[in-house]
Amino acid sequence: MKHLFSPLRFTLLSLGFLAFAVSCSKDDPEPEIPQEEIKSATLTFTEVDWHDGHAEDLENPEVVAVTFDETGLPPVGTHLDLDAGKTYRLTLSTTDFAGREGAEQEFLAESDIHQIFFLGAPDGVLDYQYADPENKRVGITGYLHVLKPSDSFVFNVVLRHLNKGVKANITADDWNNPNYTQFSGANDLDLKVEVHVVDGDDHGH
Amino acid sequence: MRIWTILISILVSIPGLFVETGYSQTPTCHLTIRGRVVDSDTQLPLSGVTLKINPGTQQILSDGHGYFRFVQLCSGTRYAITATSVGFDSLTTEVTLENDATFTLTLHHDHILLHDVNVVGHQQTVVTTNAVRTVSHEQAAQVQGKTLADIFSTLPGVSMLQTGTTIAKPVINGMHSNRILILNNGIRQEGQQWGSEHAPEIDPFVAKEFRLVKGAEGVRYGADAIGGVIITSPSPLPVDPHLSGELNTLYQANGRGGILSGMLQSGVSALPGLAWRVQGTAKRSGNVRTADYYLGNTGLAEYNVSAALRYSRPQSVFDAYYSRFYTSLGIFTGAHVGTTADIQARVEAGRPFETYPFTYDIDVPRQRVTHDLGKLKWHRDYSGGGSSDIQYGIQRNHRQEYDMRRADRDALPMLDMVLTTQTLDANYQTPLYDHWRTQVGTNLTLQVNNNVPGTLNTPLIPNYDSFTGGLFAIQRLIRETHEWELGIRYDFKTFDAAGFDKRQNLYGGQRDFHNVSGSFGAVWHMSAAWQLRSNLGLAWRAPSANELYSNGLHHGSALYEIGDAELGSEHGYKWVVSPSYANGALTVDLDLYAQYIQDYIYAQPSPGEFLQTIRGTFPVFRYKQTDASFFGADLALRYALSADLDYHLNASVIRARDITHDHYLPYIPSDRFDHRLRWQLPIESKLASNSYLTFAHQWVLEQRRYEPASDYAPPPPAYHLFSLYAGSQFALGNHPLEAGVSITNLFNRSYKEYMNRFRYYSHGLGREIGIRLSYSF
Repeated sequence: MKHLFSPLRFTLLSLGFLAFAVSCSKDDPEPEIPQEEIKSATLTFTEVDWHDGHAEDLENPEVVAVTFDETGLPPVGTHLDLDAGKTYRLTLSTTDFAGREGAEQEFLAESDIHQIFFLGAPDGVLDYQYADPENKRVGITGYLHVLKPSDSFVFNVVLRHLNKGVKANITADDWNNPNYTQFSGANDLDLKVEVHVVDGDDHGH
Repeated sequence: MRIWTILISILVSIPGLFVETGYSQTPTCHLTIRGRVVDSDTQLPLSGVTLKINPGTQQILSDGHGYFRFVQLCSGTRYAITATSVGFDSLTTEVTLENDATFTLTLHHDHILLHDVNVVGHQQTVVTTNAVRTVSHEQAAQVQGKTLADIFSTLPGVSMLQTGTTIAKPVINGMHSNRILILNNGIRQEGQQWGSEHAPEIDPFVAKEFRLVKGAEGVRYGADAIGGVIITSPSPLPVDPHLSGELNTLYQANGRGGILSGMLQSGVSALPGLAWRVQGTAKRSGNVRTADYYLGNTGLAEYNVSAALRYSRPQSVFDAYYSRFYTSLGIFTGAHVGTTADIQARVEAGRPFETYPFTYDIDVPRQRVTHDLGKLKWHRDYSGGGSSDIQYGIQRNHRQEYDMRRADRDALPMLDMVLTTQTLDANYQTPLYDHWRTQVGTNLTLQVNNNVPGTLNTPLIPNYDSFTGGLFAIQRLIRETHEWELGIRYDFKTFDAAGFDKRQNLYGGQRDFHNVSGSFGAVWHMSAAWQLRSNLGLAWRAPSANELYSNGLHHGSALYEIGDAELGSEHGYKWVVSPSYANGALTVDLDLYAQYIQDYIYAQPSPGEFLQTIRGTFPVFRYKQTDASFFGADLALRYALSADLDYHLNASVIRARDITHDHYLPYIPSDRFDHRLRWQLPIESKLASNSYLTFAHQWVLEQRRYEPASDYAPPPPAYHLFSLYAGSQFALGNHPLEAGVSITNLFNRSYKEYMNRFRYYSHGLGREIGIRLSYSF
């Protein structure tokens, strides 16, 4: 026992630990491909025939689509022309981190913690009905009623990733609730595009 | 300004008030008593023994070699020296002084409580010209079960940086994280301390001593000790071969938390000098409440174990130690935010939008941390008073942080890092020779950080390895009435990092840092009542991995932080002047400090720069360097109003600025005052002793010195908190049972603390009732 306590032995023992106990250099880093972010999102407005609270497809509907890149913005100068008095089926499609389509199904699968809000329109210009399968009320599919012409505005589509239990406090009438931030959570998508609502075919550019 | 005027008035007036009562101002009072305290059984020196002299109010602790010294004593006066230490019978020796005198005080084990307490053995004490502040046993007991930061915040000058209710870091004179050093049982605590939401991984139940050095002790301890040093130490292992131990239980009503902590220890009769100890703590609590509502997901589970072995020989001691700290803690759900719009909505509401029930469940966001520490130490005393220490330490810190993720990935950590640190410290202290004593030493640190692959998320910091080597020398001159200390140190650090950013581009590289630091300090024992300490220290630190390379969204604050790989070292010059006075009923400890930090690193808002993502827009903060100044004062005052009634006041003020840009620094504690009235209850008996009742009031002022553009919300208004503490010691057979009750935030006041990063989302804790029992055998 006494020999163990010679300073030289102890120092050598300690240095030995220092040198060999664990690896002395870092591991080579491995690239992690972030999978949290959506790579792109597309909003598609398809004109439908709306009557008696139901939509029917048209033979040659007007279809307007806009795609947002990873900044949440469309190409520079993009704007949408929507016709007052018409109803559009509004669908959201997204691609995942690798650019694969169909990522929006994830939000439907977790419908209890996701909901989309449609913001930015002046009062009385738009109305919206969620039309997701099984009444999931997410907003991947819905009907946008363009009620009257208006000045152009920035249409803001926010897909909210809600904290657990929060969705129970949200109703379908909250589709354009400007205080959506009170529904605690974070945004999975925050898309902005300029919209012109015009009378009939009078598209102003 | 008014605060400064008050403090300066106190400082200026104290000498004038009490100079006439300082009996030892008499010029003929210049005699000295020296001595040493030893254990009657083992003849080993005893450190940390409390020694009082009467008349006079000098009270000191024996040093690491059992030595003590009283100065400024008067000839012809009959003095009584009383030595007290836990586990020993008190000893009083009387002497009439005609000349300087030398004693050996031999303490005998307390036969009644021999196995009830820890026996104080051979232990190194902190030697410095800086004032060393200690958390008293009673103060530590009153905050038992809380975090290390809570314990140290009972000292003036220490506050907490909180991330909600479950994470707290100590802040010394406005410095925290990588600017302070935590010595856990003699080993530099190395976790991922750069993160403000990364609390020290230490079980306070392991420690019996909590000491604080506010000076820049960069020479003695190396890099990072810019703002001060926190020292936690367990009690020494026993020398007698009888099984002893203690059992602590605690119930906290807020959070319905329970703690069980136990310890067993003994010497080994078959091999005299060999002793062991095992210890463990389990802690579990659920959602805590503010004054008006529960905070969702604030539960906590913590399980810690430690084991110690010591072999003592007359002139050498060998220590082996291992501890594991494990915690799983929830982070308040309401602080999970997306964008600045989310934060602004919450700031406007001032409280969570949702209501939460009580639950013990811990959901995402959450942290899981395991910290292992191993230590081997060899200490040797040489004839004549010299000594040497060699210490090896190894730590492994595994941190996993979980967040709300998409597509069922909640169970996958967002961050998963393993930090391994090895340290080797060696120092030699010469015997005292003609008033001179020299200490030389070296510290080597090898650190490796690896991200565990598979998080499907870009790591916040890269993999890295670093080596730090330091050499230091400290020269002390020890005279009867004054001591001087001069220290110099050289450090070298090499840091090699490699990682992939979110676009899979490789980044990193090697950085080398050289630094020379120094310190100069003095202690002046002006009289039996007055003592003055002053220390000027230069300390440094290299930029941390996140300051160099972070490039990502900051958890809970909706900020995008970007590091700067070209950042240089930070240098801090801290001057602390600590006058102290102790005479009769009054004890005053004051710390005045001025600190200049060259190339101070902090994340500053980048004007006009925002990051546009598909998830929203985030303000960008970039790590930059500037020069900063810190000035402040900490006051601790105790006045015995009567034999049973004591008044205590702790006060701290601090002023900090970015002097390059002439604006305020963020997250500087506001001025605060704590005072308390302690009543020693007159119910002494064989069954109950040391019963007390303490009424405390804390007044925290509003922080008015901040930059509006750098924060989402102005600092919260001032608040007052009242607390009540009571305790007593009962005899349970031959063993003591200590019981205590604490009620903090007595009136269940709703308040917010500026230093809580979650103050945007919620209030501080409501009323907390704690009941504790501590049984020693």
